[in-house]
Amino acid sequence: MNRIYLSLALLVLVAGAGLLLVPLEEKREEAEAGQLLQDLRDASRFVSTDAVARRIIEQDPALLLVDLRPEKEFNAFHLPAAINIPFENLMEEDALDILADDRREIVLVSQRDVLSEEAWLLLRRMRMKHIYIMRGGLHSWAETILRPPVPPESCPEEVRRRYQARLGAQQFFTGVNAVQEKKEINSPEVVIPQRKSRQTTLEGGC
Amino acid sequence: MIMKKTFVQKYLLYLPFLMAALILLEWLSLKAPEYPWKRGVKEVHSALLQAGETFSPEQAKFYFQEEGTKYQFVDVRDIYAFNLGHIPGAVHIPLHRLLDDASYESLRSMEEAGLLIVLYGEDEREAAGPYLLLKQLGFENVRMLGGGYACLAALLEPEAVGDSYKCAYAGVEEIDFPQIIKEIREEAGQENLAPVEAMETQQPEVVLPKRRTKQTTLEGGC
Repeated sequence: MNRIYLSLALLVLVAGAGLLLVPLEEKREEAEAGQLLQDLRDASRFVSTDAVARRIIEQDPALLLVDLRPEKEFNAFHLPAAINIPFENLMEEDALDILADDRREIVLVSQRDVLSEEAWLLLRRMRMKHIYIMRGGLHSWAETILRPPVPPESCPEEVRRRYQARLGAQQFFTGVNAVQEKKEINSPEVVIPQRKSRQTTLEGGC
Repeated sequence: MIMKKTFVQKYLLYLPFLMAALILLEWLSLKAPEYPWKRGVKEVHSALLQAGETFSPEQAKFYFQEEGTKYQFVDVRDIYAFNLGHIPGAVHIPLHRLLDDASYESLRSMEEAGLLIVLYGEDEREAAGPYLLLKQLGFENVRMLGGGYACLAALLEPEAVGDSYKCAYAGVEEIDFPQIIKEIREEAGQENLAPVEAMETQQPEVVLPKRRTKQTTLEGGC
């Protein structure tokens, strides 16, 4: 009987020692290089401007837009419901507190997407997995939402539906009434659409 | 009277040793990472804020055309893009092989030879990840190509891309959004709308998560 008690006591001792040792290693709060490389190859961190526009319009409460540009540029123009964390302030306590909150999905926005990518990588190293990047940044926003390119007639239905959605978004974000454009597309008469020279940034493609 | 020992009773003695072995195994499996970080996050972030980490296409063009150059261009795109066209003298290390032994060794030897490693992808963003990884792993002489290969190719062969192509990259161009919105409204004949600021919805209230202080011992009690 004594032997059993002894072995049980030994078991508890070893288990206790093990519990002490293991968390010491587990305390690593950072991801490793190999893991980050895998994350880089995975493209799931990107969200399109269309997706962001839709979520803003639907007032998705889970979305948080973080603008990484300098304060001056942010004040000149920013997306609705975006907050400003200039890239140079990214590592401050307040900023990291906001970014570490994983109850919301944080989408990083910058001029293009280089700053966003850099910020994403640094935050990912700190094990923040709820951070995304708006692909193309505000440059792409201007090219797809503010001035959606008119797709040629030959494009598939999906592309034209997307264009319609973008027209709606354009109306939402600029206040411009897009009725005029819609009439041109739905009208059965043969109307030669007057191509506004600025609109066709992506000419010919779908 | 000696009772016949049950299975458990027979082998109970061995249990602590088994547990110790398991815990030792788990502890051993948490080995050190193959490529440990040499620079902290904040350190690298500060380094990024300094100018000179990104080469403009003009600078790159000048460097690789120079004789006896001390720059080594590294192409991080896939093999097909590389074969279609790359910077003369560039070495091909695609992203997924960046931390392979062979690639890592060659990068190390480039740095030891005193070369400045310039990473480039199709666009500027493609090289940002590899660049940051190398920076954090301790590489000193690493830079990025602004605008990526697309911009540089356009610079070298302007006839191929045409006049309308504008190579713009982060840090160079500035988009005047209020101007764009104004133009859009003018085109639609609706200039007299409320200014842009009034259109925007309220900024969300950012709730800073309160750090929970450790609960003190139970108060009250029976």
